[in-house]
Amino acid sequence: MTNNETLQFDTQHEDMIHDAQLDYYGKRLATCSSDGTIHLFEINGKQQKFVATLKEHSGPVWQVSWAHPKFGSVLASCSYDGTVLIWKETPGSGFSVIKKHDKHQASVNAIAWAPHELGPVLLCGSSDGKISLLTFTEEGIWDAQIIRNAHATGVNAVSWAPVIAAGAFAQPGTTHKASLVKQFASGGCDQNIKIWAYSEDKKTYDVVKVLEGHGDWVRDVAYAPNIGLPRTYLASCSQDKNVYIWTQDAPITKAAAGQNAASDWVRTQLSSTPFPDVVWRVSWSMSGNVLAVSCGDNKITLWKENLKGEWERISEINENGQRA
Amino acid sequence: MQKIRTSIDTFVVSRDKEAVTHLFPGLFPAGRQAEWSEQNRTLTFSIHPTNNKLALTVAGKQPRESIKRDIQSFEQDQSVTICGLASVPDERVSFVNDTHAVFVELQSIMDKSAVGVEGVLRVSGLYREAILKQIRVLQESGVDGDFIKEEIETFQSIHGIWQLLEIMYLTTNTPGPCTSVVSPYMKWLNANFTTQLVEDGRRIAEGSPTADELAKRDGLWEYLKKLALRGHVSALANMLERLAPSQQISTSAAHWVRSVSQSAKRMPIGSNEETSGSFRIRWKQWSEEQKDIAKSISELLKDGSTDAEDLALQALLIISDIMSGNVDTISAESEYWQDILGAIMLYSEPTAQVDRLPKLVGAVIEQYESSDFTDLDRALVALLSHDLPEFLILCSRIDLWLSAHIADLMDHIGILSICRRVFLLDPREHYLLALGEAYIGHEDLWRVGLDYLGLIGTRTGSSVMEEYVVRLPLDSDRKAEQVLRVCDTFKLARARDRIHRQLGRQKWDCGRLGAAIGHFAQVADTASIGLICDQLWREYLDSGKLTYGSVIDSVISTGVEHDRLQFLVKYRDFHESYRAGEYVESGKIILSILLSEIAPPYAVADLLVDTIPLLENDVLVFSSEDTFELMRCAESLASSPEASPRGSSGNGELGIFNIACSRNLARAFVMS
Repeated sequence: MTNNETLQFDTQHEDMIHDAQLDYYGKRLATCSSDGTIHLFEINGKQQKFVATLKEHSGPVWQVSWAHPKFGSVLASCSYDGTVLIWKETPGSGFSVIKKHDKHQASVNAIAWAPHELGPVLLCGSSDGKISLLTFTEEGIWDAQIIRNAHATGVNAVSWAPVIAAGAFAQPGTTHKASLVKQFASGGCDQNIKIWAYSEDKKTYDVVKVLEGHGDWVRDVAYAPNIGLPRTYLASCSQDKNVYIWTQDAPITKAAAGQNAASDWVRTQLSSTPFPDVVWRVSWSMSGNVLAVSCGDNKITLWKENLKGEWERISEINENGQRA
Repeated sequence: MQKIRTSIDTFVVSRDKEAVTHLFPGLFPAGRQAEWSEQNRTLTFSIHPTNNKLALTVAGKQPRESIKRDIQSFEQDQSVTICGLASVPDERVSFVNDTHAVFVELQSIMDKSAVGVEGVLRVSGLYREAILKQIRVLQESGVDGDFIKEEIETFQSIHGIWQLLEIMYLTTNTPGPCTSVVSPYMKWLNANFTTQLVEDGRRIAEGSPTADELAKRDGLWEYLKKLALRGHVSALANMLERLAPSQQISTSAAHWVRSVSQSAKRMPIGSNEETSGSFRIRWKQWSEEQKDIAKSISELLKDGSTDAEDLALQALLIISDIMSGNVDTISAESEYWQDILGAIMLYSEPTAQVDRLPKLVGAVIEQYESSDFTDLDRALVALLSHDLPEFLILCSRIDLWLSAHIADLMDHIGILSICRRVFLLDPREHYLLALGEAYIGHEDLWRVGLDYLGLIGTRTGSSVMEEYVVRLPLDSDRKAEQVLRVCDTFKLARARDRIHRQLGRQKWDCGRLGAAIGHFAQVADTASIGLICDQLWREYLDSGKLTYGSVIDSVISTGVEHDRLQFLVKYRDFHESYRAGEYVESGKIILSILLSEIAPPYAVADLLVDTIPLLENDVLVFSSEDTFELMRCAESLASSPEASPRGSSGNGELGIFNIACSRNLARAFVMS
C-alpha cells in the first residue's frame, strides 16, 4: 500500500541515531544517538512535539528502554561509555538521573526491563562479556548483580522471558508470584544464545541452555510476549544473515506448567533462504503474533505464523521511496 | 497435464498479499542504497503497542569512535518516520461496522438457545447482504484505480466462498426437498461467475427480431451453447423455438432446432411430490433422448447428406452433447472449471448431494495445472473437497475478514472441530484475534476491535483485550467512559482498576483533583486519595485560603468516604462556624477532628494552634474536660516524631497554646 499516514520528523540529533523506542502507551518516543544524547518526543496522532534532551552520557548511546508505567515515568539508557543510566521524570522538573550503573568495563550494548511483575529490574549486556542485573530493592537501594563470562567476547542482546509460562496462561493462579518465570536470554559475539534461569537456592541466574546454530555474532534476541501461546517463542538474528525462531513446547502437566520444566528447544529458520544482509533487530508485536525484522538491506519485514506453523511474510517496509 | 486453459485469470483474484509500505520521502537518498548501507547504516524500529504503526529510523551500526574512516552524512540520518502498516482502508469502515453488528448478533443468538440451521442460515444471509452492499458501494463510488478494483475483486471472492459454504453446510442441510446440491450450485455459479450471458441475450433479442434476423445475429450460437452450459434450458428452448422458422438456416438444421427446443422444454424437474427414484427414471429417459439427438446430428454431419460445415448443425450437436452430459464437450466449451463441474452435475448427476462433490471436483481439476490456480480457485476446490483446514488457510490469504468470520461461522455450524484437530492453534481464536487487533488501531474502529477480542470467549481473547484496553489513549472523558464500559461488559476487573488509576493520575496532573479522587475512590486507592487531600491541605497552609470546598463537596456528594476527606470537610466547617461567630460550635468541631484522629499527624500542630483564639476567647468554649483532651493531644504530638509542625505552627506557637490551655483550664474551673 502507499501509506498516506506517515509522520516524518527531524530528531535534531547531531549524529547517527542508534535506537528509537515508544513507551507503554505509544505516546512518547525516546531516541538516542552517537552524539551522546537522548531526545524525547510526545507523539499524538499525526503530530509530534519535542520534549527534552537528556545529556549525561559521555559516549554514543546505544539503547533506551522505558520501564512499565507502574514504576512512574522511568527510562534507562546504555552507552559506549560503559555506563547505564536510569532516568526518572518528576512533575515540574523533568527527567533526572536517579542511578548511574558503572560496573561494566566496556560498552554496554543492550538493556531490557524485566516484566513488571518481577519489579524494577534492569538487565544489561556489555562488550566486556558480562551481564548485570540492576534491581531496585525493597530497601530502596539499587543492587547490581554481575554475571561474569556470560559471552566471553561480548554481549550484544538481552531479552526477558514472559513471566507466565507457555501453556500456563489459562490456568487459575498463574500470576501468583511463586509461579512466575524468572528467565532471560542473551546473545553474543560467541555466536551463541544462552538461556538463563533464576535459581531460588543460589539466588542467581544460571545458564540452563545454550542455543547454538548461528554462524556469526548474534545481533538480537527477543522472547515473544506470552498471551495464551501454547509454547515459548524466542527470535534471534545474526551477522550471519539468518533469523531463527526457537520454540519450546509447554510442559504437559498442569503442575509442571509453572515450574519451567525443561522441554527441548526447536529451531526454525524464519525464511527459507538467508536474508540479503546482516539482520540487526527482531521485535515482537504487543500480543506476540507478529515478528518484525530489520535487515541491513534497508528493509523491515513483518512475519506471522499461520495455523500450519509456517512463517509467512505479511508486509514489508521499503524505505527507498520507490514503488516495487 | 494442461488439457484446457482458457481465461481463468479473467475472474480469479490475483493479489499480492504482501503489503508493501513505501515511504515518501525515503530514509536514504534514492538510487544510493549500496553507498548508504556501506556507510555504517541500517534501520531500527519500535513497534507501537496499539495502532499498527512503527517508529522507524536510520541507525548507525557502529559508534563513530570505532570507525576509522570518515563517514558521509545523509540528510535523512536524523529523521524518525512513524508509518502505518496494514491499516483498515476508509472504504471498509462502513462494511466493518455493518458486519460487526451481524457478528455480535450471531454470538448472542448462539449463546441463548439452539437456533438451528435456519437461524444460522438467516445470519449468514445478513453477512452476504453486507458483502453485496459493499461490492455495490465500491462499484458506484466512481473512483477508478487499482485499489478499488482489487477491493471489488476481493469482496467478489469473499461472496463466492461464503455462499458456497452456505450452500454446502446450511442450504442443503435444511429440512425439505432441497438436499441435492445441483440447483443451489448452479444458482451460485451464475451469481458469482458472471459471463456475458445477460448482455449477449439482451443484444441478440434486441428489437424483437424475426427468425431470419435472429439467425443473422453475431454470436447467436455461442450464446445458445452458454445457455446450455449454465443450465438455462428454458431460455435455450424459447430462443430455438423463435429461430426455427428462419430461412437463413438449412432445412435439416431447422428440423433439429425444433427437436432440440422441444426436448429442452421436456427436461425433468424434481418436485416435492415425486420420489427421487421416479425422478431418476424420468431423467434417464430424457438424457437418452439427448444422446439420440446428438448421435443423429453427428451422423447427419458425417453422411454427406448435408453440409458438413453447417454451423447451425455443428452448434446443435454441441448443445445436445452438453445436455447429454458429454464430459469432453462440456470441458471443451467451458470457460471456467466451475462451469465444467456445474454442467457435469446438472446433466449427469442431477440428484448429487454434497458428499459427491469431492470426487466430482477432483475429476474436473485433474484437467488443470495446479500452478495456474489462484488462492480463490484453491479455496473453492478445498471447500468442495471438504478439506476444511486447507480451505481456512486459503481464506486467510484472500482476506482476514473472511478467514475470521468464516471460521466463526464454521464453529457455529459445528464443522470447525475438524480443523481444531489439525492445527496447533484454535483457528477461530487465531483469526478473530488478528482481526480485532487490526481494528483496535483504527481511531473509529477501536470499540469494534475490542468487541471482537472480547467475544472470542476464551481466556486468551480476554487477556489480549486486557493488554490493549489499558494502553488505549484516553484522550477525552467520553472515550474514557466508553473504555470503562467495555471493561464492565467484559468483566475486565484488573484493566478497569488500572484505567481508573491512570485516569486518576491524569486528572491529578491537570489539577482536576475532585475527578482524580473520584477515580481513585473507584479502585479504593486510599493512598492516592490521602496524597491529594494532603496536597489540598498544603495549598491551604501555603495560601492561607480555604479554596478546596467545591472539590471536596463534589467528591463527598458521590459517596466517597475517606478519613482525609472527612478531615478537610470538618476543617472547612470549623472555619465557617468560626467566621460566623459560632465559637462554641467551632470548638466542638475542631475538638472532634482531634479526637477522631481523622487528621494527618502532621496537621495536628496546626489544629492545636487553631484552637488558641478559642481558648483565649471571652466566651468559655472549652470545658475543663475539653481542655484536658487538647492538652493530651499536644502531649501526644510532642512525643511523636512524625507529627512535627509543617505549617505556620512553630514551637513558639505551641508554647502559646500551652499557656492558653492553662488559662482556659483555670477559667473553666472557676466557672464550673
